[in-house]
Amino acid sequence: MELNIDRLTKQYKNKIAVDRVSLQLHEGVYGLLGANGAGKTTLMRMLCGILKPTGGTVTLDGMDVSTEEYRALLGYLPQDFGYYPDFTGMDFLLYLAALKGLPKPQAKRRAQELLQLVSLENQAKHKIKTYSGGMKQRLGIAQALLNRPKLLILDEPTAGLDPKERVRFRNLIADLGKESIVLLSTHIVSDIEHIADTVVMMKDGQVIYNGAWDDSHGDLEEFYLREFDEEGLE
Amino acid sequence: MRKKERQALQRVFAAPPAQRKEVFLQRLPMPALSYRQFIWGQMSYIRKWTWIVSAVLFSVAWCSAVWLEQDIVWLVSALFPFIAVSAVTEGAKSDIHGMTELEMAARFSRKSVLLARMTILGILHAVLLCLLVPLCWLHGSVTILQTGAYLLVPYLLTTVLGLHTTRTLHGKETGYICMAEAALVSVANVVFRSLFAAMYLPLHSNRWLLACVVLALLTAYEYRKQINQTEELTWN
Repeated sequence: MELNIDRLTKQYKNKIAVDRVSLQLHEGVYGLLGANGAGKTTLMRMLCGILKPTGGTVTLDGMDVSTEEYRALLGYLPQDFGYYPDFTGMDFLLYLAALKGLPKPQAKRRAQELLQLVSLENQAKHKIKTYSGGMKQRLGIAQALLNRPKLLILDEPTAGLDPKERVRFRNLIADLGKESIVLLSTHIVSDIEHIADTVVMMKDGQVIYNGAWDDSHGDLEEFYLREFDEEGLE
Repeated sequence: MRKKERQALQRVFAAPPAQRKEVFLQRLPMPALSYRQFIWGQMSYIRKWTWIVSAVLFSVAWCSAVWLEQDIVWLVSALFPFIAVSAVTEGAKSDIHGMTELEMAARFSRKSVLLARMTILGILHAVLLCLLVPLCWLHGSVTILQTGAYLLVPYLLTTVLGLHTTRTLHGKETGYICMAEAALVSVANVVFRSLFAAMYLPLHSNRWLLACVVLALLTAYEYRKQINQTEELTWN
């Protein structure tokens, strides 16, 4: 499986949010690192077909991002998402399962399986408005996995998760990365260090680093802070 | 194999744990949802309020026309904007509740969801109109064409205003604004009839039909813009 991003660009009136980004991604976990405003979320939205690029193309094994076939293989967790009022956790997953094309019996089994995976099986029949921030985030992760995606895009997936949940999430992503392309963006450098096979760093809409990160490259956090002109903590 | 032998084997033999279950499940061809099943499934996600408003309006019209034998065209005309707003806010639900990105990234994207719900509600409202126009005409003093026009004009006006609002504004307050627009059209309809009774004479029927046609074209224009907008997230 190959995700081919070719000179992808998104320009607004007086700002280039993503500037001619080209990447070829295969099965594995890719960590997208960058400061606020670097273009990570804009890039991810274009990879999900939510934003139309100003230039360039995105294809997954030859399928263009604008096609239904592409979206059928996609799982996406946005940075912020809402829910319809009065939806329970199970209602939310069943609704999105229907949008992802899963027939009802299959959707129900898959939803129960995922609720167990993210430890929400006891809250499945509770309304989402009663959920904590971490619970909502786990529900968001569950919905991204409904259709067993071949391309999984997660925008700040560990936001709101406690340390124990974060460890479970890392193990889950590591497993998923064996068979799928996983692209996750985060500000938490340690998440990238633990999970990602490849680090992609963005600054001002451009990719400034793309490759594996090991000890020979030094400390990832120090490199990140140096690149983004931040003072490190002593 | 006899049943007893089979049961004995099941007791003695422990099945090995499943291995590579995920890989197997991924390779198994699963029947996908068809478009028809998807559209049918969307009916259950249309808010109950939308069905209730239509049912209540029809019941009121039925009781008034059939049992009380009243001229109800003005009552129904004043209530019809609220039928229109139920459809408009249904289309804007994703934006109002922050579900837009999730829906846009799905196989049946937000455009498909909107088209499915508009189709279902369009059929419902068309059936409602076909039932209400004869009911309103039954004890009214105007022709059936005039009755249809007096019901359609406030309905289409509310729809145009509501679609424009949901297309240009985003957030939870959009629903309240659309409801306020429906109330305004409803009240304006009543006031207009009191102040300009002459406009409801048969000689002005052509003006009402022209208003219907113009508003119908504007409605189609606004719907097309809304559907085009579902294809791309508006930059915040």
